[in-house]
Amino acid sequence: MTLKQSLFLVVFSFLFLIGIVQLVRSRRIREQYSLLWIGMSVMLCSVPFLLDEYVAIGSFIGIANPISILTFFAILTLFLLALQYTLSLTRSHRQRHEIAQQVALLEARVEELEQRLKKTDSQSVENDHE
Amino acid sequence: MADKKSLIIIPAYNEEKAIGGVVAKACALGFHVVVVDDCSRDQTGRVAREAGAVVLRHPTNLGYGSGLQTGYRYALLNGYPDVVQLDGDGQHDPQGALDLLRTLRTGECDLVLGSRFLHSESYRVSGLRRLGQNYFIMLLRMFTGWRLTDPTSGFQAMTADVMRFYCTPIYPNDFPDANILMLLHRQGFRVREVPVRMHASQTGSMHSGLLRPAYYMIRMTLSFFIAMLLKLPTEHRK
Repeated sequence: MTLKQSLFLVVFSFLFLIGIVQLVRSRRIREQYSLLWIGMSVMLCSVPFLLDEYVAIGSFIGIANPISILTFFAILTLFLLALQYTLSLTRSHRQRHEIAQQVALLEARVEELEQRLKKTDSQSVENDHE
Repeated sequence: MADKKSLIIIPAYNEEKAIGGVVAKACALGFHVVVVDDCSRDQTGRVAREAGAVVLRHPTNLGYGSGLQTGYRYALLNGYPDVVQLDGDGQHDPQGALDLLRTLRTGECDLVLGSRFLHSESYRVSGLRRLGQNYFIMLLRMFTGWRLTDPTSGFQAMTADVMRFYCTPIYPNDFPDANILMLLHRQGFRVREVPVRMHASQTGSMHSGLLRPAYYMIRMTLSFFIAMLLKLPTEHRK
């Protein structure tokens, strides 16, 4: 890996990391969803410093080129992110359904209680007149 | 006539043309009726209420299965020991609910399916739809041993135990069909069929065309096999 490539990777991942932290600070990203992004930028940032280790891992799984190793890990991380969003979407879907069902049940209950109250009010007015 | 503790659940979406008649007929038979209005864009809720039903309205459209599930939650909250579910498009005759309940209350089964194919006077489906039904009949026979004639029927009666099972997260709340029967089989529930008269839908079918039924069959097949692998819940057991 050339010095230019290393420099670009470090600067890019560092700026990316700052961006993610800013988004978490302003509550535009929840902490739980930021973890994988932070992990990804730390991994990118560490590549020039741990190049030998990455090459060793790459040759262990049969990838010789350091750039290909990086691409492989980047794709893997994106898969993990997609999986995390799918899980989160499924959970939100279930919660949305449960909330909507509860709203429907509560609305009907409120309506029933309002009608009962109206009935009681009109009965007490009649009793007062008597 | 139904006794005072009998509830009919009707999930409905844009059914203003047919729902009034269905609700009125069910009420005349002595049933309590709850209509789950799945955020219809027409007057379904108002028509159902005027006909005598309690209306539960979803704030957003959640789908057929969720509509039923809201109805089960209502039934459990209000202490109904069993319920009948039927469609709001006029396809299912509320009179048949009495037969379903009678069979359910013998205690020999937990869920009763109303089968149009066991009834001599029901309308017959044709072509692709029948092919799809035969496919699910075959799947169920192969993997559960159940010899059902109308497993996709939405005209059903069930006990509170089944409703509690349906209110767990395992319930496929987009479209419960052959997949839910597989889950019932795995959970050890007993299912029976009785003949019911069915009419053609007054509001058209969601299974018209070619692509949608094909997509539905693929999706339901996947859901059926996933149902064989799902971890069964325990929280519904008393």
